[in-house]
Amino acid sequence: MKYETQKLAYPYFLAAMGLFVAQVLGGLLAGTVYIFPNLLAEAVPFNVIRMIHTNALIVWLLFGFFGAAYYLVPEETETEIHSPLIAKLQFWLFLFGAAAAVLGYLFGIHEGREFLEQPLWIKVAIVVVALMFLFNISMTLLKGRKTAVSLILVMGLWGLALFFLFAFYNPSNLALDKMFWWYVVHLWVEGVWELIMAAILAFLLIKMTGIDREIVEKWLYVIVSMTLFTGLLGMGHHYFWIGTPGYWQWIGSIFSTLEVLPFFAIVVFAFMVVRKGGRDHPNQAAMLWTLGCAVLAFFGAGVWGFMHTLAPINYLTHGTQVTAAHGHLAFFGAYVMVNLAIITYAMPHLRGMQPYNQVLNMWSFWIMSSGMVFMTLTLTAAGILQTHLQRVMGISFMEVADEIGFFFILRGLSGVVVVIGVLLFVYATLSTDKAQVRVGGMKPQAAE
Amino acid sequence: MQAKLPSTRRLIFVWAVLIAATIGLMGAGRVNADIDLGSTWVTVLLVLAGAKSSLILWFYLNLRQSSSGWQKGFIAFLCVILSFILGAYYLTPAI
Amino acid sequence: MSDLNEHNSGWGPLSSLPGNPIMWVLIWSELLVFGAALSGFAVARMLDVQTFDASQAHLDRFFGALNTMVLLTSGLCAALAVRVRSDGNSSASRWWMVYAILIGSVFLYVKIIEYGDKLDAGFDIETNTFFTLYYLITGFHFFHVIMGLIILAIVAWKNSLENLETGAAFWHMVDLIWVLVYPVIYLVR
Repeated sequence: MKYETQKLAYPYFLAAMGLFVAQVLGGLLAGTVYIFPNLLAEAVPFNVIRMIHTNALIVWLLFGFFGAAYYLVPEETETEIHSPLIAKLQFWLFLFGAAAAVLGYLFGIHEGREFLEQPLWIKVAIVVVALMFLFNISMTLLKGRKTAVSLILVMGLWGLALFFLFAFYNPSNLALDKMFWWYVVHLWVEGVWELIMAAILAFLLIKMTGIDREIVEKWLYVIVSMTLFTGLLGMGHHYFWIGTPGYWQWIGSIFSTLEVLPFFAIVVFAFMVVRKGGRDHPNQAAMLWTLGCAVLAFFGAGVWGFMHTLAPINYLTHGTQVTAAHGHLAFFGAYVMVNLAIITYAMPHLRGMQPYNQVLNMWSFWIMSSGMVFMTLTLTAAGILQTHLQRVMGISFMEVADEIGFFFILRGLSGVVVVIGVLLFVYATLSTDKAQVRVGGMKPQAAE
Repeated sequence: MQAKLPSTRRLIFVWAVLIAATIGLMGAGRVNADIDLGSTWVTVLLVLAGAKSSLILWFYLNLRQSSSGWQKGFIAFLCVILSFILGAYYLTPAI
Repeated sequence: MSDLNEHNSGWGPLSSLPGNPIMWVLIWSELLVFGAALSGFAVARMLDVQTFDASQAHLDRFFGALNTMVLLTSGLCAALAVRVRSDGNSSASRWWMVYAILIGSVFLYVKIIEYGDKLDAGFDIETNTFFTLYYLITGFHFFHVIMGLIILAIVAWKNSLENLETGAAFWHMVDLIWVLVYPVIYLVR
């Protein structure tokens, strides 16, 4: 760690991990409700559990992105963060908003619009938080060195804030409502978040392999142009059956099929860089998360997304467990893992530890990943069965739910495995390995 | 560097061939008659389209100076698309 | 292109292509999109050949051919602009780009007349699958022609050889796509 203000990332990463734990516990509870449908039906209905599961996910990923930006922007721009005070205020405001939202959900205070359930004042607070953050980061970037990594990261973060503004637009026409609703989370995950992810991965690869920055930057440009070309119109695959004109079926099918390309490019990029640059960086765990992220993002977002993206197929699979399978592996592979990668990389520096509980961290990688992959497979099987029974044979929804119950038990078990992996990760990241020595904050960097 | 770009004369010659091929395409596709073409003429149409595309790639885009991997890639792409379209045409049930 | 390769180093295989390598990422993406769209068109036609042939009869096949020639000619001007620029003749290169832009604009004019005729006759994007795809594919291409003209104008103004090669590459791609679109949508029956 070279810059004092990189420490600003620390509370963000802590909050991210805390909410991560809350998120997977919520997920575990929701998975249990699938097995015992009446569990907590009165006290905390399923829709509220699900709300906590999804909202906590988004919020902790944002905490992670904010933390990642505060950590890597000083190193990239070679200058301190513009205002540490703003960063600290922003942290507490965001944490307060997130806590208030979750507490409110438990008491049934929410606006009901899926994923955008936050009460208006919390949405406003989110915008204020985003503006504080963007101001702070952009000012830092303006006075410092402008690298492709930091420019693309900041571009992605601006896009994130910009698309969130559509959360405030809620037309009474249901088709229009849905049309703009998709702008918020889905232009994130299929567009601007991919830029953030690519930038963070590029930063990690430069630091850990010592490869020539020039090469990484060129890959970044290729990945970013493919992402923007395919992702923005590819979002049309959400417009198949919401009352929008039929031509969206063609636009959505064609462009979203190509969304596999940037994810594939990221895999090629990551492995090529590691092969050329070598993988002898002491933080093997961070390397594992980085490469794992590229691979599982490709499968979860790319392959599992393509599986049901063509309109004639989606006509049958829409809203089945196939969607849940894709959602889980895509979010985990792309955005959870990129956050865990930067946390694993940065935490030893932030805590002034030599690489720490590496072995434990790597165990958590394998446990969490295999749990999640198994969950995806069970949901995919459930989804295919559900599609066949319900959409092809015409059996009613509730009867089909009984038929696929077995897969929900398997999914519940894989959820337990994931939760164990998550707890292990948090422990490995925060614990002190007695075998290791405290060496102070200035660990030598791999050559750049 | 100058040797690498096609000469003015060659570019004009390629342009003339492209225009001639387009006129050929108009004839093969009977632009002024509303009749069925039949599979032979449709094959001619698509082959002409492929030939024109290759000329554009080779001379306008100067692909002849790039690596053979790219050349093969572009030609393979054209072949795949055009044969797919032709295949679909052949598989279309007669009315 | 030897001087270009110096600041184009690190692009791997992309550096053997003329102009900015990112333009070639775009060109490939476009080719994949139009390739997929034309393949989709062929399959949709296979499934409903009566509608497709009956609808196609309403297109103006001559206008399509005319527009092919317009783009080919405009493409020649763009290629010549690059050619004379590499000979060091900057102002002649500018003029060739201006010709390319003027001739290219004719494409838009013809296409607008065509769209107007179809809309007047009551065929819009929701009429049937043929017209959905006709409007999507040619409309998307039309949008690229507009973009292409803007790009040509920019590189005519900032006319370094690399810029010219990049802009011309985009324009030739637009040309190439029309060469594929025209026979498949207007003629095959």
